[in-house]
Amino acid sequence: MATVAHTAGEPRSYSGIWSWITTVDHKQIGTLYLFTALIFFFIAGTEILIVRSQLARPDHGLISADLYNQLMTMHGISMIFLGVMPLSVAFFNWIVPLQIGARDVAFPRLNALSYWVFLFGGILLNLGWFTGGAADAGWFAYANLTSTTYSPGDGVTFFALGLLVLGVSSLAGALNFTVTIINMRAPGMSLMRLPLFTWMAFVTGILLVFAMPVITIGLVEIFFDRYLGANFFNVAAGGDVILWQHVFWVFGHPEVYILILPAMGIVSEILPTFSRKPLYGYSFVVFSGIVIGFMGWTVWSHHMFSTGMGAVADSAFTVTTMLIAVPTGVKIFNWIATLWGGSIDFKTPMYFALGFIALFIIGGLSGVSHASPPSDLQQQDTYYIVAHFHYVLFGGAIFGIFAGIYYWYPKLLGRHLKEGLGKAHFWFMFIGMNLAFGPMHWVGMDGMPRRVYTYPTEMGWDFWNLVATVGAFTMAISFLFFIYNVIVTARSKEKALGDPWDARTIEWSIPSPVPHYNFAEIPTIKARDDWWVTKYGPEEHPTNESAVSDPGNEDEGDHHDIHMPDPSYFPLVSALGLALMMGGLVFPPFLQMFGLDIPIISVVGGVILLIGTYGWAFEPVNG
Amino acid sequence: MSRRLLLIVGLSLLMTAISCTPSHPQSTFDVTGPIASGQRDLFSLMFWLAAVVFVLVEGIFIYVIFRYRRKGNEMPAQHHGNTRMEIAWTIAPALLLVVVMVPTIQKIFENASPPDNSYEIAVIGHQWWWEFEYLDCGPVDCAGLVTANELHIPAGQPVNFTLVSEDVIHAFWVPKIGGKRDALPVPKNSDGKLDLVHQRANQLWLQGDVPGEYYGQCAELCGVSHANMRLRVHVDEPDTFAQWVSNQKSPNSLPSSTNPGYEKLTTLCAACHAITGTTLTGVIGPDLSHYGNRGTLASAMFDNTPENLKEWLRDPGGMKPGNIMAGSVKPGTLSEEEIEALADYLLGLR
Ligand code: HEC
Ligand SMILES: [Cu+2]
Ligand SMILES: [Cu+2]
Repeated sequence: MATVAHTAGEPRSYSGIWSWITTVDHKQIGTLYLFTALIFFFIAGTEILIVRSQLARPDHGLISADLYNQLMTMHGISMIFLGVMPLSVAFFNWIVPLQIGARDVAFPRLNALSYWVFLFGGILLNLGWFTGGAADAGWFAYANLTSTTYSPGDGVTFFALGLLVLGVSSLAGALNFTVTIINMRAPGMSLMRLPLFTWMAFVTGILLVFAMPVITIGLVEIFFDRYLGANFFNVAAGGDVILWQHVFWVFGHPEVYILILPAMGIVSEILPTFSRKPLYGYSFVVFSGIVIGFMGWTVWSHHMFSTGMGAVADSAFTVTTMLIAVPTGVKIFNWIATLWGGSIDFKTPMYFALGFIALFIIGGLSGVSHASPPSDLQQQDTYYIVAHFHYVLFGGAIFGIFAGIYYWYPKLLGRHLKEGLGKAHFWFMFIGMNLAFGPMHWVGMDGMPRRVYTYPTEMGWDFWNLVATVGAFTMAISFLFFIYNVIVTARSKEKALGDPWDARTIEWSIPSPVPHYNFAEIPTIKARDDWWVTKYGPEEHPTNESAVSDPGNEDEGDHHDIHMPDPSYFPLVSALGLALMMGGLVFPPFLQMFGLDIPIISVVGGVILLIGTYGWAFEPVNG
Repeated sequence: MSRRLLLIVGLSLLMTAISCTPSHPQSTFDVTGPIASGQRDLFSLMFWLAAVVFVLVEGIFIYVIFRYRRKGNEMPAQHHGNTRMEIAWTIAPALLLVVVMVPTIQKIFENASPPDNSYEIAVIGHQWWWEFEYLDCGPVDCAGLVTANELHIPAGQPVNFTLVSEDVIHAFWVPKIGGKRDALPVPKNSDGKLDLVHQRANQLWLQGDVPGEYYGQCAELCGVSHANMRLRVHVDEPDTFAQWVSNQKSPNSLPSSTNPGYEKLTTLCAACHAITGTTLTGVIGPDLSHYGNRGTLASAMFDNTPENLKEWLRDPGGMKPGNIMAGSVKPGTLSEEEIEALADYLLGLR
């Protein structure tokens, strides 16, 4: 075991790998989230590269239809639940406490639990690969394709169990950050002074708190059908397959905003910083975010126009769906107005943020065309839809997330990612993305359904599919630049300044990397963009003489008096127990008792979970 | 100068690439009939509006990022916003949306119920092929006609389809004639037939105006061979349609009992396939009546040539992943002699 320095009355602290395992520090947890999610993101990316290779040519026999279905399904699930969502959570962890002037989140150990549960849930979700086949029913897993009759392997079971476990992580995280934002704000940090990213984290947290229970119910139904022979989706026994679609999309559409709002928040931070102007129409951007959050609950059935809901329901969902474009437009206009009259500095984070806007506009516009059911019936389940949601989720969420990574990397990890490599990353990703997803609009309208493992050459889709594949590999190359950048940066000795971008919010008022107690003194907030006002004053026409010097990159002495939560390994133990308990339901050995098959591993997992929570509850608190 | 040349060459290469691809059998632009054209027109309206918005917004965006790039160390004015602007760009898009909302809702209701003189056909999705049961063709006596994978309808005649599925969700889609609708699984009645009036039995009406052969395809992920669950729609001149119906209803006959394929046909194949007028009445696989008139094999996956058909009888699983017939007909199940005889027989069913 690594070193343990613990004398009575002093906080315990660990170093080396043990410090990561026992950490309850929001910054370390954020870093764990970031790199774990990036690994899952690259796995999901590799899955789709294989798929794109298969689709590069008509009648291509690179992979089997069966493997195709698994790869395509796992790509979608992993990107959403193991890529974009946890990447957003990485930023919640990194940034939210810093932006509100807090030393940590409200429940630090719960935060650690969220991470470990996410990690094990992600592994559980992928276990199907090793037990004869991963989930293969598409990411929205339409019943009754998920029944044991039509998907007999364990893949779908792992899908249900994995997502149930991940739901625990998301829910715990969401509650934690919602409570943190409500309760832990520094004096003077009123809600209408909250930085935009924190605002969007807040809205996202609330959406998650309401959305996760919905999908949990659906997943439990799938699981009961498969495991206990229940009949929720068994038509012959009076079950209903459309029930799943409603449950799924009541979760699934808010989920879309869960994926995009954090990225919108990130962009709303970066644009002002690099144009040296406050966010235009702050309160309108905030409220449009809230309105999107609300309206996100009213549009779910636009995913179901082909299910025959009838003219009245179709019309109602048309209206709500089209209306949600309005607050989205408001955001875009305000971003552009922020740039207007600014002094735009083209640094890598800004490249990605501007890329976000350019691409998101396209995704938003194509979205309107399938809000209209008659038109959507020609588009639904085609590549046109694939194009649309990759423009909003890749062009939107992923661009936003990478903007955030380049922006906050120096703050949290103390080093600048290299500008040249960063811009190479951007251009390859931007061009690759348009090559890959742009043509999909066309092949979709030319009648190519999604989720087909092959297509005959007479359909006329060959050329643009090849282009899309070239685009996918171009994007893959872009990430090599990123990975190389991270490695080079980790080796370099150049340290980042405290406020390298001349930014506006208070996380830049402290040294880089952030000392473990964040703020030596809890700040008192006197304005929106507090750090900017500290530097340049509240005037409309400030001079560019900063009143304060850069916070630097040195930790100013040890602040032993600052009480920080103790590290703990109980979150890890509890998470492991939970994962074993769920995963063990599928794995032998089973013990025959009372005429039941008792899953031994689950029982062991349950015991570990019990020990974990018990130890947690009675862990001595220092201080 | 050379840049412009490059652009021109590039563009013309692109155009050839688009136009050289032989045909676009599932295009949603080059369509026939009121449903598909109405859907296309609505899309066009939205497309052109979106194009205007796109050019405008991206144009301003690009202008702004070039115009306001940082030149020195200048400090811009700290503008916080303007309520009038906010109201303007809230209302403007809302108005634009009303422009698409109104015709959308009109179209929804217009397409909702079929014209009174519609023919009635049931479409039953199976993993991974289509069954068509003709219920009512007005003056043409088609009731009871069952066929698979190749649908015939008369030109200019609205047809109302009742869509159901035997197993998982499929979606019936013939892009050039109209948008898709799901075929949802429904329970069976006591007679063993799917309940066509169940609340989950969907309706869709379509009409093809120009005679010809149209391509279609299942649009909802339905398992391994989802990509191979294709279909063809033949929009026939009304006379041709009536002839097709009466031919299709006329009985086929079995080969002589000395035919090398006879035994397997009446035992093995009979378990799953039906042929009108014979003792074959299976319902697990596609109806094979007048099979020789079909242009395609295995739900429009292959051309219906003697070679393909023989290969199908040799190893259906090798030709179409996962398909149900492969559970009973494996390589070696049929001798080459039987294959030859059965293929001859099937293609002779006209
Ligand atoms: C277990 C049931 C089963 C048996 C037995 C069976 N088939 Fe099939 N057959 C099917 C199914 C199901 C399909 C549709 C496969 C698909 O397209 O996915 C099919 C398809 C076909 C087709 C193509 C039909 C079309 O519409 O394109 C032909 C021809 C055919 N079978 C002939 C035969 C012959 C001849 C035999 C006997 C040697 C036979 N089948 C035995 C189930 C069976
Ligand atoms: Cu949606
Ligand atoms: Cu399908």
